[in-house]
Amino acid sequence: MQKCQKISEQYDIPLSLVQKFIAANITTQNIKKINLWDKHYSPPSEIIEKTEEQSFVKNFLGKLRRKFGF
Amino acid sequence: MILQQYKIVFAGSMGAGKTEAIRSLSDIPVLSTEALNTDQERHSKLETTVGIDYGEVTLEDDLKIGLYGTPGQSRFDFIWPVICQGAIGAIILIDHNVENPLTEIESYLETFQNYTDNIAIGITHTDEIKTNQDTSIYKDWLIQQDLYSPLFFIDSRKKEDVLLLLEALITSVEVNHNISV
Repeated sequence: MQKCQKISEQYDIPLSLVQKFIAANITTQNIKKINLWDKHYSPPSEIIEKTEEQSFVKNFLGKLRRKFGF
Repeated sequence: MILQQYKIVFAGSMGAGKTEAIRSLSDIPVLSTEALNTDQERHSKLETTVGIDYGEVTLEDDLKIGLYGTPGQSRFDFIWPVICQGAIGAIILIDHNVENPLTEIESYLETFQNYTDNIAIGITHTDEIKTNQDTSIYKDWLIQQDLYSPLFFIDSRKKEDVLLLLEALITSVEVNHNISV
């Protein structure tokens, strides 16, 4: 349950949707094929780093655009 | 050599207009290392760049971007990795009147794709009638090669033309970084 809560928070999707996803996969006997932690879970630090890099590049290119009046 | 953290590289065939392109963008007088051109067979211009051209653009917060022009002759290709490391992108300039402009583009693309995904291509000297080659060969070739680098016909002496290439390059970076403006 704690894992579901974390996934819900980090991906910003409702907890009920995560639970439905898992329930549906249990019903179809598919859950063993899906390792939520290894395959579908990005550690939060990676997400933050990517966002920071994007933000830096966006800011940098914004300055470049302003400089040349694009 | 001044190595800025942020760089834009201008590469391409001899006489394509790299020095002029840098001059049209730079906030400082371009540091150039021109020498007498002894390869008149390849290009008839009197002088050519034998070292690196260097220009500079200063952004807000005193952030500086180095504009580096690489020597056109392949015997200077050992310099390319040095100035391309960490570059924002590369602008490849090709003289339309060289013997095999497509081979030149292919060669420069192959080289500079090793350093950056962000490449814009400028074809220059299309106003001089020294060749029978149609300008449509470039777009056709890019499509055949399944390449999507922006390509424009420019006069590198005109600032607005060089700005067009620069804007295309910036857009490429935004697309490659999944950034919406």
